[in-house]
Amino acid sequence: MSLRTLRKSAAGALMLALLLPILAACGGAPAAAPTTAPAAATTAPATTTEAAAPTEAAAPTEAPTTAPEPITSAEPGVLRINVGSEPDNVDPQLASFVGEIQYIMMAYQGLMTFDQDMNPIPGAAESVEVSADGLKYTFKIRPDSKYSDGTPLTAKNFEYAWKRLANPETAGQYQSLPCGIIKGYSEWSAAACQGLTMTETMALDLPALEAAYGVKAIDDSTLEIELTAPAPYFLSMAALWIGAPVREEDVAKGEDWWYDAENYVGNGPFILSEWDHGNKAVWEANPNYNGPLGPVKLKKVEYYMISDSQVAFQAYQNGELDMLGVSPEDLSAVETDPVLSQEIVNVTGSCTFYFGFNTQKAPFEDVKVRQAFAQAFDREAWNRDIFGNMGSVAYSFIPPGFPGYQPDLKLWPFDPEAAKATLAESTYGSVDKLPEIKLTYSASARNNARFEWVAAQLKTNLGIDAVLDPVDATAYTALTKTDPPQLFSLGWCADYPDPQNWISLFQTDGLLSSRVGYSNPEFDALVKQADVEQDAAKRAELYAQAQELLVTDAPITFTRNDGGPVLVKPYVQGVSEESITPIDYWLGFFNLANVDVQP
Amino acid sequence: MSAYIIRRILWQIPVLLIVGMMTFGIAKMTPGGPFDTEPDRRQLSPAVEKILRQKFGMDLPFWRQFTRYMFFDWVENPKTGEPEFQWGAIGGNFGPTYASRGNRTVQQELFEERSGKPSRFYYSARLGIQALIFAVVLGIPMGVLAALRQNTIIDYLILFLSTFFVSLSTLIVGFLLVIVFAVNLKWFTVIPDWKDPIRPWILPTIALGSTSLGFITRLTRSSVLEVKRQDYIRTAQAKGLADQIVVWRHILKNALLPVVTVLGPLAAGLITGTLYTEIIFQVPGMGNLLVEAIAKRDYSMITSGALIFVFFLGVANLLVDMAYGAIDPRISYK
Amino acid sequence: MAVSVPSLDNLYQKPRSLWADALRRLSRNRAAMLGLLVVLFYVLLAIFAPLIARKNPVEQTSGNSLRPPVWVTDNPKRMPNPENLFGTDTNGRDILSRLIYGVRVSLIVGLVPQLIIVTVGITIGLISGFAGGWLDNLLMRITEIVAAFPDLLFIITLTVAFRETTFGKAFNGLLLIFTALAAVGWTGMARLVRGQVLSLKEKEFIEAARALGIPIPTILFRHILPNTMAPIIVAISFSIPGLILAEAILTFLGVGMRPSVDPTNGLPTSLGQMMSDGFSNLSSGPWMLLFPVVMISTLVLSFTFLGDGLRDALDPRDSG
Repeated sequence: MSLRTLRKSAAGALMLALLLPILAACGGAPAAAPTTAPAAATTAPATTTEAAAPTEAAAPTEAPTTAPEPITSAEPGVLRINVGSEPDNVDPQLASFVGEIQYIMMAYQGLMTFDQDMNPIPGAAESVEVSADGLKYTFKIRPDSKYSDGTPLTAKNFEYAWKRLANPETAGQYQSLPCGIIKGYSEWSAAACQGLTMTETMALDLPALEAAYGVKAIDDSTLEIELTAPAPYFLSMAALWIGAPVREEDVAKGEDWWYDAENYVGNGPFILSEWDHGNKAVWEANPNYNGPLGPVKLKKVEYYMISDSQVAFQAYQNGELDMLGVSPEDLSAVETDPVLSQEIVNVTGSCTFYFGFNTQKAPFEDVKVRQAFAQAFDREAWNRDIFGNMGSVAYSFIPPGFPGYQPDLKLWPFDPEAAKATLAESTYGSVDKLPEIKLTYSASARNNARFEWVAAQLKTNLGIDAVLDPVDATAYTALTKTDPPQLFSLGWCADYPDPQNWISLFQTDGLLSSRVGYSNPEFDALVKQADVEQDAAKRAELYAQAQELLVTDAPITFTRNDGGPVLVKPYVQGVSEESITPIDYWLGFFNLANVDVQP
Repeated sequence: MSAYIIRRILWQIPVLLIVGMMTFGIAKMTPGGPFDTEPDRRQLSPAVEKILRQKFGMDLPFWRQFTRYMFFDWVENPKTGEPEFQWGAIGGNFGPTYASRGNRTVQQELFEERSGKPSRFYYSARLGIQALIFAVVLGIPMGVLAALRQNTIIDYLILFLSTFFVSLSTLIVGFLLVIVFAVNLKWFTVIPDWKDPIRPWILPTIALGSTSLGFITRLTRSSVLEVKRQDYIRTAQAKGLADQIVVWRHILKNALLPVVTVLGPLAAGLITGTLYTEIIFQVPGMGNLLVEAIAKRDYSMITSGALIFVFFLGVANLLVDMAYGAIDPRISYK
Repeated sequence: MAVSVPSLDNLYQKPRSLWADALRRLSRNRAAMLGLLVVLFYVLLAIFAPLIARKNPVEQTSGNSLRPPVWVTDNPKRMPNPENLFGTDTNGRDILSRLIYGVRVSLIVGLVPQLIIVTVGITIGLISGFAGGWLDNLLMRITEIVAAFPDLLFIITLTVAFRETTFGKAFNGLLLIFTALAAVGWTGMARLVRGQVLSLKEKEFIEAARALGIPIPTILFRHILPNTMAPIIVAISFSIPGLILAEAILTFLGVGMRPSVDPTNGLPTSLGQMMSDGFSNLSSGPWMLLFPVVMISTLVLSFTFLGDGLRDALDPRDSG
């Protein structure tokens, strides 16, 4: 039986079930309504496979279609996807969320971009030259580059954008990312990099600092960026949205210049032709685009803002969306449906989820306790029971598909006996001597069910009665930063594909290590060396050693990576498992040239 | 009467101030701040957070932050270091939204019509008014009918129909409407096209109006039953006036009182947006935005939402109180 | 007011017979009796939940998740488990048992804050409407302020601040929810009662009572209140589903009931919570939504029938 008929009859049955009580009331039937109604309701899906079902009158339309009709697109060349919600700000130098970056990357192209293997390749630049000491990057802008409105795009535009990023007045959310990397950046962006107040920063000799900043347009086609130390990941950074070449004249139109589609003029593969705020955004192919993601076959891409996943799922099935990420809740419905199961394309994600152990709080100051917990968690069952095997189980930080992924690094496979043995080696000696274990997480109905599952795991595998401690999502974020709980759940998603974006976060006082109080000088030394190492192989080896050390010390234990099925209508071409990149801004973005919507 | 109205309007001033202070205070008290974003993503570096806190004046004492929001303040220009006068909510400036990193103001987000696109307020207000009209136009006749046919099958049927939607969350009512009318019958699309002036409004109006419809139907029924047995109605009936005239002249007029009462809060609530209807039917209104503002700790947006709500509540209640006088001349205000 | 005086006397001198009368009338109302039966059935379920439920509502079985009800056997990939009559949820918990316990919480949520709402709402409404003038103005403005109270934020603040205290944990977090729901829930009731009083106090029989020198509290509670009962009962029967659904929304936003894995917990889940879980899993497990929805709506419909029946029965002028 197809999901379609199930759904139809489910709606009909639901109506019927709700009508039954009144029928019973009128007929004076006894209070059997609550039990008979569900019975009638749920037999409905079963009976629709046989022809004559008593509930068919209640079902809105006739049920099963025997021969599947060919699925056709609404309009060839137009791709309709759901982005979930309206972005709050799409100014490239201010934005920070995926939902915002999704807009920026369509309209703009940075100096670099990524190929399908997530290697940085020249984007708006035609070529890039790195000096032997790894300190000077010379970008050549593609000749005859134009903005979508036909005005020329030169190295000056990039100089402006990279200066705008560093300018302390901008105060963007990612302003601290290039701190200490680009020459003169930390000095100029003193508030973001050195922690000065705005007033102190404004008192500095800003014009001089700007002049000393290491980003310069030598001529219209040449941009030079000087670094303070070799940073092999800088090319990836140059592909990010933060360096998108916004134009001075657009920015001058007001603080919310980006709010009007006509001001949002870029050099990216698409033009924002219409932005119906809170409802949809329409992108048209940019005829002036000359970068590696083109020439695009698509005429239009439409972004919709459907926040409820059930509604989006209906829209997809109703032929109003062409691609849709499947939520874990819908997975089993998709897999058992004959039509939808044919439309699945599996993708890998860019996030790793983990449990953090606060090493400053008992009992997790003891590495053996942390290791025991790492061994006591059945990741396979977690991913199977709760996520329907979407994504993958994780034993280390860097997710599959990303540079630096170590598939063989599985130090703590699930083994409850070994876990108990490890716990016995700890200073606590046994489970009953442990203090109360409290598992803190971001509160939502969905997470409640998930962490109830985790609590049951801890009970079964270690005999621990963990206390569940849900905290409102925003308060939870604040808590993990200011007063990290004893045991908590978090994730990390890639900004750019480089091990530095993952491993460096666990240096002493790093973004993530400070949340678990982790500090290991040996680890710090490895990372510091790797961050500036220019030999790719040697660098990879250093990060690998660091990651192994991290997993051994177990200040956090990894649980799973996201990813999983995406529904793609058969008429959408060029979107396949191989062509989807984990950091795609939408599925197939870095594969744009090959994506098309057939009739 | 006009003195009464003026007095009522003056009373709104302390109400608005207290609501502003209370909401702003509780919002500030709530743990977590506007920069504590999705926990799984990169967080602001402490240095950048410090810049933004200064930009939004979040390190000032509470009273100063509140007066800056509510009344006015001299705000230091970061470039020149000079203080510049700036109005607060009383001057129509509801402050920057934190979510947009201060690029947009609350009044822009809620009320600005730009590039020919209506404001969020327009969507919420229109939907709310339509839903209210739907509920009143259907609810009152249904209630009268149910009362006149008390304890018959018609009464039960109306009772059931009007309660059916109330017993479900708007979320589920809305979703059922989508499944039946958009997915199965294809009369509508799941994704609305707001350029169409009528079609996308129909389902959300029904979904949003259905709860109020039930309430109004049943209030009308019970009031009509109450009034029906009053002596003057019996007298009128005894005098042999045509049934219809008795019903519409006397019963309805007296029965309207409780219905009119609930219309006040209902109207204020419906006009300022409703979360689930907006989510299911993708209405770009204020409800979703205001709820999200809570999760984002967008203080100025949260407080402005409460102020706007209480403003409309005050207006609606004033209208209701004046309607009392029209319905029942014995009720008077001095 | 020749006709209404005897009934007023009735109310005044022989209250017992009024109630007896009402009961007699109620017992003849078939819809109301059916409602009463259903409500009683759910109340019994709630009280004897531990005896009736065959499984523990928090017991999770790995690999037993999302099983359909036993009679749905058409999908070979997902066969029912004969142990779970109404199927299982995403965590492999028995839906039937959770429903039985869920009724318990939902009844409590629908009724307990109601007591406060009704008491506060009626008192404020009576005073405001009867006193009029500046007191009316003041009370109604306070009502407006309370109606605009940022309850969701307040609940978030409370749940975070009290999450480790007895207050926050009491009744699995329900006490907090009661407090929050009751604190803002009474405003509609107050205005409704006030509106009625405004009109009633100008009526002849009230003027007569005042002229006779009957004390004001007596006039308020003996003469005015019974005449405002009709809209109050309607409002209550609407506020019950309102509260049940409000709890579901709070739980959906993560600030409602606390999650529970404790097998001895008597209040592990609510129908509202099951409904929002069910909605998220609608396509994979429609039964997860269907059962709680059916239970909530039958519960609400029964309360409505009962409420209308009560209203009719209490109407002093109804000769039936």
